[in-house]
Formats: sequence, C-alpha cells, structure tokens
Amino acid sequence: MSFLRIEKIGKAYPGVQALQDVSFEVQAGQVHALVGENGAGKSTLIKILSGAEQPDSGHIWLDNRPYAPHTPKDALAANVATIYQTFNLLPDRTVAYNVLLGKEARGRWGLLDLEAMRTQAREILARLGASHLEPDMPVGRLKVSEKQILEIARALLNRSRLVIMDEPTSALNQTEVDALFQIIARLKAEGVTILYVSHRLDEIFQLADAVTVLRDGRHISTQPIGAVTRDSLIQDMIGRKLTGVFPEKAQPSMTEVLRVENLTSENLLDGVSFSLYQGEVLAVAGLSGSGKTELGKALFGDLPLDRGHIWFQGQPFRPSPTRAIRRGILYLPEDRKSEGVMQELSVRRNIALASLDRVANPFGFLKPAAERDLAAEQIRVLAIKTPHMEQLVLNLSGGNQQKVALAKCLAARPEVLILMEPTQGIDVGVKFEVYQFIAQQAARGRAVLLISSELSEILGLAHRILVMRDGRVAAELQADQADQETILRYALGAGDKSPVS
Amino acid sequence: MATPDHTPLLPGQQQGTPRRIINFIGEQGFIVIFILWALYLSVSTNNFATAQNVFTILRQATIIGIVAIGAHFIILLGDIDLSLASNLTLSGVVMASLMVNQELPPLLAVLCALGLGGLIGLVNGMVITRLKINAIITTLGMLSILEGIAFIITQGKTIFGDAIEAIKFLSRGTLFDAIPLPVIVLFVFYAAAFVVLARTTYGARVFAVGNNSKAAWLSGINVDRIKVLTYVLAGMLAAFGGVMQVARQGTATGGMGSDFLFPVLTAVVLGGASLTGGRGKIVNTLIAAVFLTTITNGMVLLGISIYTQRVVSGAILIIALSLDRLRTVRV
Amino acid sequence: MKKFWLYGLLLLIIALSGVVTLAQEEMELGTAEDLEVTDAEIEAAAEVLGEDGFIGIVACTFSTEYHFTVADSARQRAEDLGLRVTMVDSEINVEKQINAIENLTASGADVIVICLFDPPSVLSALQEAADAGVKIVQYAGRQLADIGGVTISIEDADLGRAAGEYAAQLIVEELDGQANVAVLDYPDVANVVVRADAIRAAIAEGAPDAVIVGSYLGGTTENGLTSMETALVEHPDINVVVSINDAGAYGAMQALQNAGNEDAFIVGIDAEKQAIELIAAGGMYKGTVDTSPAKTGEMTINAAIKLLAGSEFPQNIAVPVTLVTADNVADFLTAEPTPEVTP
Repeated sequence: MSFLRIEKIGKAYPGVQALQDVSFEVQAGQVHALVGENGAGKSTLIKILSGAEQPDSGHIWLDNRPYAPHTPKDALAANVATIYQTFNLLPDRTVAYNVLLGKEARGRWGLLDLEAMRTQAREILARLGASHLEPDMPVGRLKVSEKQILEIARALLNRSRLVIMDEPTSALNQTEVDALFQIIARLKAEGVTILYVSHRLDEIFQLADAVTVLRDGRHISTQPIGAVTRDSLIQDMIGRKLTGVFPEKAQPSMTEVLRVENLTSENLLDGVSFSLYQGEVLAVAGLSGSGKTELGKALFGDLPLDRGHIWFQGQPFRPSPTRAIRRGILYLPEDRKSEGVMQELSVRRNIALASLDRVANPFGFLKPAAERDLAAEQIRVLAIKTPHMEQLVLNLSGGNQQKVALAKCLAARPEVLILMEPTQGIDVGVKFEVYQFIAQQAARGRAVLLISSELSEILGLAHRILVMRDGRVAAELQADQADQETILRYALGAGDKSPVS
Repeated sequence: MATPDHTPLLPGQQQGTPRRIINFIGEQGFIVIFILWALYLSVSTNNFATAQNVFTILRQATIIGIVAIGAHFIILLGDIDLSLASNLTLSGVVMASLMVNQELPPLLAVLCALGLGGLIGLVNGMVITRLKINAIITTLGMLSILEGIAFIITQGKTIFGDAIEAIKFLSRGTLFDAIPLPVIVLFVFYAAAFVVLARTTYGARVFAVGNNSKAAWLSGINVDRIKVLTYVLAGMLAAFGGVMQVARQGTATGGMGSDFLFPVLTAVVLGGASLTGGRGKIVNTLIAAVFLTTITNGMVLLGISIYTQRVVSGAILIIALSLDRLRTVRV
Repeated sequence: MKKFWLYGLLLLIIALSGVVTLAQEEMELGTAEDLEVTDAEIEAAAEVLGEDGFIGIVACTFSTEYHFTVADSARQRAEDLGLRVTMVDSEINVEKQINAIENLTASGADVIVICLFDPPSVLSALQEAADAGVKIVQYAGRQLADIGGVTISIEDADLGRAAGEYAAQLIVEELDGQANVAVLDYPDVANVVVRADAIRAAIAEGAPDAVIVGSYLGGTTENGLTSMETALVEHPDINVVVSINDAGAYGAMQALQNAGNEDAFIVGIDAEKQAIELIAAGGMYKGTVDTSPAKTGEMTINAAIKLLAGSEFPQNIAVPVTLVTADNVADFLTAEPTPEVTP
C-alpha cells in the first residue's frame, strides 16, 4: 500500500524549473532512498514535503488523504518530520528540554515538571538505543551525531509517521553512521516510513528498500533496491554509462619525493613516519579523530609540530603554506567553502591566487592576459562549468567550487598534492572527474597524499594505504592486498597482530 | 558531458527590469543622492555650479580623500584604523615643529613626517599581527597616544612661522594657472590606488585576505606581511594628509586632525566598502569623500543656519546609506 | 499633536532663557583688586591643605592656547606659592569632566578650580563635591553662583562687544560705514554663542549700514578656512571677518588671501601669540581681544587661597578685557610672553 503518493509535482524558481511532473510512490514502513546529483531537485522536493515551499502544480497524498502543508507546522501536524543537515536545537538548553521542545511536561501551577521531562526524554532515547545521552547534558557539548539523535527523538515524540532525512551521514564517522543505521532500523520496526536522501550509494544499498532517482528536476526511476545495481543507479543519476568508476592505476616510480619521520603534535599525532614517491597515490585512512586530518594539516603548516622531520626532494622542509607552495607542495583543504575557495572572488582570481607571482612582472604588477590564460587553461583541463571566468565562485555548484580549488593547486605546478577529502559532498558526476584527475596527476609523476573517509575511493585510487589510529600509523597496506574489512580492522584496532604488511 | 549544467541560481541573480533598477540604485545609492543634491544646489543657488566652487569643493575634499585611501585599504582587509586622524595630527605637528623650531629644510621635514606616519603604521601592524590584539583596540590606544604626544609637543599652542610658507604651494599652487595642485594630487593618488588594487599582486592579496584570511593563508599568502604593509601605507598616507593640512592652514595645532576621524570612515563606508572586508571600490570612496564635502558646501551656499546644518547633514547621510542598504534587502 | 510638542518645547526654551537672563542681570561683579592675597592668607591656606590636601584644576581642554594657558598659569602660580596642585584635562567631554570631579573629591582635594563648558550636565556632580566640603572656583562662566562657588570669569559679552565695537569703528573710519561682514561662530559651546551675539549686536549698533552676510562655523583653523572658502563663493565681496576666537580667524585669513581679498579686515578674540604677531606685522589682521588667560589663571588660585584662608571677598569677579590693536600691540609682544611649561 502506498503511504506517500506524489503526483505530477512541478515547481519553478525564476529561471530554473526545479521540479517537473515528478510522480512516484513510497510504500508504508519502508526506507525509501532519494538520490540525484546536486541540482536534481531533491532539496526542492524535501522543502515541499516539509511545508517550507509550495508546489506550482501537482498533488500529494499522504495515507490516501490530500497533503498540502503551507508551513513546517502543518507538516508536523500531519506527523511528517524533517531532519535537516543543520540542526534546530537550542545549544544552551539541556537534552531533555530540546527533545521535548514544544511538548514540555507541565506540573502544578503550569511550571515545567523537570523530573517528568527527564523521564520522558530518557525513555525516548532508550528506544533509540542512545541511553548514554543524559537528559541534563547541555546540547552545545554534544557531537554532531548525538544532535542528530535528538532530532530523531523529537520526531519520534511527535508520533511522526514519515521522517525525511536530508544527508544525515554527511558529518558522521563510520561508528556514528552504524549507530544511525541501527536507529533507522528501529524506526522502521515501529512502522515509520523514511525518505532517505543521500549521496552515498553504499549506504543506500545497505539501508533502503526502494530507491527513486531524480535528474534535472525530473523523475527518472523508482525501483525496489533488488532491481538496481550501483552502476545502473549512477547511470540513472548522471544520464550516461560509466565504464568502471575508477581509472587505471599507473606504476609509481621509485624516486622518493617526501619523507616524514616521527611527526608529533601534542596528542594529535604521535611519531608518524612514511615516504611518498613520485607518481604515487598514498591514501591515509582512519576514523575521525585518528589523526589523518591532522597529518595533512601538519604537512602544510596548518598544525604546529612538537617534533619530527620532513624532507622534500632530499632537502629539510619546515612546513608553512608559503614555503610549501613555493616548493611545489599544494594542499586542498577539507572545508571547501571556508578554506578552499574565496566565495566572493572571481573564478579567475581564485585559480591564480596561489600563483600570483607567476602572472605578474618583477615589480608586482599583474599581467591580466597571463592571469586569464592561466585560468582559461585550468577551466578547460578540469572542465569547470562556469559561464565565464569573472563569475564569482559563490555562484558555482559545490562540485565546481571543488574543481576551482583543485585548479588553484594545479595552476601552482605541484610536485606533491595533499588532498583532504576531495570528493566530500560533491555529486557523482564530478566525483568521477576528480578520480580521473587524481589518477592523471599521479600518472604524470606527481605524488598524491589522499586523505579520505571513503574506503571505496581509497581502494580504487591508492597504490599504498596508511591506516591511522590514535595519531599513529596503525598499518601500511599495499592497495592490491587490502580490502575494506582489513582497513577497518586496523582503523578500529582489531587487527593489531601484524601492524605492517 | 551530456548532463546540462545546473548551477544553482541565487536569489536576485535572475532579474526583471524593476529589480535591475533597484539594484542599480542600491549599488550606487549614495551617488544618486549626490546627483540629486548637486542638481538641487545648481538650481537654487547661483554659485554652486561654477568652476571656482567645484575646485573649492575638490580642494576641501583632498585631505579627507587622501587619508580615506589608507582607511579604504585597511577596511578591505577587514580591519579598521581609528588612529589615522591622530597620525595626521602628529605627523603635521612634528613636521611644522621641525620646520619652524629646528629650521629643517622643508623637503627633509616632509620626509620625516612621512617616515613617522609609516612608523606609526608599522607599530599598529606589528601589534595587531604579532600580539594578535584586535585592530579596534590597538588603533584606539594609538589614537590616544598620538594625540597625547601632539599636545606635549604643541603644549596647546599653535605652531606657525614663515618656514611653513615653503610648503604652502602644495595647497595653493595651481597647474596652468587654473587647476589647484591639491586637486591634482587627489586624483593622482586615487589613480595610483586604483592601479595598486586592481593591477598588482599586493592589491590582489589585500582583497584575498579581506575575503577570507584563512583561505588566503592556505593559498600561500603571507597574511601578516600584507597587513603590516597596509598599515604602513595607510600611516604614510595619513601623514601626507597632515603635510597637506599644514600646507593648507599654514599652521599646526594639537587638535587639527581630530575632525577627520569621522568623515574619513564615513567616506569609506558610504562608498560601499564592506566593514567585514574583501569588498569595496576605491572610486566610490573618492566620490563619497567629495559628496561629504559637498554637503557642507551646499548648506553654506544655501545659507542654512549653522545650528541646523548638522541635522541636515545627518539626514542626508542617513538617506544615502539607507538607499545603499536596499541592495541587501531581498524582494 | 506633533506641533503641540514643538510649541511646548519652544515655550520651555523661552522660559528657561528668561530665567538665565534674569540671573545674569542681577549679578554684582568684583574686580582683580578684590583678589589681592596677603602672605598671612597664603600661610593660612597652606595650613588648611596640610599634608594631604591639594588644589585640583579641571581644564576644559589643553588643545587651545587660551585654555592651556589659563590652566597652566594657575598651576604655575600655585606651585610658586608652594601649594600642591593636580591638573586634569576634560578634553571637552562631559563624561570625563564628571569623572574628574568625582576623582578629585574622592582623593581629598580641598579646592576644585574648574572650567565649565557644559554647565548643566556637570552641576549636580559639582553640587556633590560642594556638599562634601570641597570649595569650588569656576572660570569661564557664572553658573556656580547658585551653589555658592566663586566665579572668576571673563564676560563673554564683554569680549564679543569689544571685538564688535572695534570692527564697527574700523568700518566707519576706513570703509565709510559700508561693509560685508562675516561672523565666525562655534555653537557647540554655549558661552561662545553669547560672544557671537554680542559681536553682531555691537556691529549693528556701531555700523548700522554694514551688512552681516552670514554666520559661519569657525572655532578651529580648518573650520574657519573651509567655511570662509565656501562663503566667498557665495559672497565674494566679504571684507570684514569677526571671529569668536583667533584660531578660526587664521583660517578665514588664509581663505581671504587665497581669494585675493587682501584688503579685508579681521578681528579675533583670545590674543594668541600668532594673532599678536600678525597685528604687529600690520596686515589684514587688525585686532584681537585679550582674554588675559595668564591673569585668569592667577586669579583662580588667589580665590582658592582666600577661600581656604576664610577671607571675605565678592563671589563673582570679572577678568579685565583688553583690546589689542596696532596701537598697543607693542606692549603685548614683550609684556606678556606666554608662560612656558616646566615639567
């Protein structure tokens, strides 16, 4: 029986047909995945379902009754809850207060009955398997994953029958993701229907009963999960065939470019040593907090070091962004929006930013033609989609912003690329291009240090893999001898017997 | 790639004609008010639209304008320098005192003033970047120190003397017997500032630092060096403002710069530079500086009582600024 | 409804100004002779001050020569007589002045010698000081009469009248009574408004055929310069400028010179060193009015001594006003050098 029926929904914003004739059904009590590239119309659909926006045309039926929420409150009244990527929690209030917000228990004289609130909150958190969250904790101190649990608890409390989750795992590490999946399983067991929006196909295969693909505002397919494959989903999402997600790996050379010995920083890094060779992709894997992010930052000078030595092409190297860039070590920050690109500068200037001296004369006067040529070349090489190079970066999609950040590194003629989570939060099409880019750079003799949380891309791209745990290198694996399980075992500390293969 | 590009469009990017007009007025809001004010003055006074008056306005805008260049650069970085006006005072006082009391050659005295201004900027910059002390606090402290030193030097008295005559040409000289020298200085300085911002690596880095200093640092830009350099530059411009002021009034007093603090910052903000940094057009700062001078000029020509003048000038400023804010209001 | 409030406000202002005028008209003024101090009085005062007592001087500002000189010669006079003093600058800031009064009272000042630039805002703080037993001497203004303080003041009306009368005399003698006059005002300071009014009144009376083309913002050289440059655009024929102070007049002189009006007459107030030199040089600068800052400073300390010694003397005392012109400028060039500060 269909619980949610969407019929010919259309929605236009000035200049964009965000949704057009979208129709599909979601069965009761199922986890229904909604996938598509950025700009496919997922967010618009969520906004309509949660009452934040109204469709221009079409109808929605919820449990065989017409459903047309005009405000988020209407949606809640119809027992539809939406859990966004950003949270609507009051950071200074307690767990209990936040979970019961709007449904606070009242005692005598209309005062808050704090004890009753604690009990209620405890009960509901226990139902979600999150008894470790104390009702009196202030929410501001909780982790992202824990805040998410509070949002879900709130939805449960509202007796929600449809819960919409928008990229719930984007900020979670693997253990937290697992915990979330258990919660989703519990919700499902209680008969709640879930509309699950995600980029991560692995999760969808693990979790969903059915999957709907949107592309360019249109409905492409809705199928039970058993009827689709990874490749067929990607094909639906980007509208073309993929011949293998990961490109061929070229053979790295034996020339050492970067040697790191005993890198130590407070309690974040603890005696990390490794070498990086020309033409090699060396991946760093590990859970969040393992030190893999800190390792990348430390090599570029974004984290102070207590001890350790770095040699670059045989010369001692003391990290700082200025020195690193001068010697050809380029860095792609993890936080693209606030560190990777300058939102309010043009595409041209962003690309040239790390190479300004190369597009200027010795007196520091810019040569505009040289800057334009530099930008034009990178826009071509990386296929950056922008109407013109004077466009401000903030007007580009996430994937294209990431390409601009990569173009900045590439324009500065790198010998070593330190790439921090290069495909995080970008859609499948661009992801594929980034993979191609990494492989190409390695094939041209550049050394790539790939710091990533996605095991599939680590295995698909790297020649060697460093697995980190507690600030140390827990294992060094040859990619062709590794699999996801092995990496996870070292990352979790379960396979300590033979630390180095 | 077969997939059509779906760059998300931001609100306001898609625009019909009304939106476009609002955008234009929004972006040039104060210029529209400036034009209206100038038109009104041309009609209702006999002497506003004369070459003599226009040159008078431009000459009066010179010092505010020159100091505002430095303030503009610093605001582009996302910082603020409250000590510029008192830097002007001290540099002017020191120069006048060197010329009058120590009988230093004028050129040397001017160079000393510029050096002093730069040094003050250097101290500001070093304190802000090395000790990581907030720019407002640092420059507020500097303001107080500089004014104090200026009063110690002048002891409340006016410094004057024939020696100052030697630099008066800076204020009173003319080119081709028509265009006042300060007006030329003003335009040359702004042209130079424009080129520096638009066409040099330094200018590009100033914008980058103001836009996002962490991202700039990660792009290999030595953020601290850019900041210090900018404070030095602004300090030297303020000192040059002091030189021009002494040349203009023929004397130096311990309070001669204090009336500049407000108009200088107003010019930059009215010109649309964002106080959070990274955004601002130097040309608009120049126009705003001239506009500010025109407000006072017009009120004198209209014969508005000096008691009423402040009310009127405040009102004009608020109208101009609120029109500017239309640009940030989403319809 | 709005108009009602406006009328109400107007009525209130008129009523208040009436009160002020009444208070001023009834005043009996003493002279500098009334403040001659004897050695006995000085000794008595020193005894009252004892080990910890002192005289606090609260200046309006150090940034003009007049105010700096008054405060500094008061300090000088006290130190010469072996009396402890502390000097504070209000920087023309009400908040700072109130703080200064409170701090001086708390730290045990016996007398506060103060320059008031915004009397109503500071009176209650002074009243508290007086209630705590601190004796108060005011210079520049008469507002302390009500709370029992001594006032040593130049009369702003006297200053304005002297400058205005001299300007009128010049107009009648040199310009056949015809002139276009600009007055430089500085409405931020209430006392100065009285000066400007007196200037205008004296010109209207002494040279009835002269036209006062306008009152412009002066007070500082930059203001005087900017205002006069602009005024000259509208009235290129301005040939007499009377300014409420010398600083503003310098700016006006620059503007007139730049515009080529080298025949114009300028009269200022304050008798600053530069003004005196300009008068002696015999140019456009024709006259200034000596506000006797050094004399004022000395008189404030004399009054403080008399208060401490418990002597009888008039509560309100006028500082003598002297017109400085080419005729008597020689006396001022030598007779009264501005005192130097010895730190």
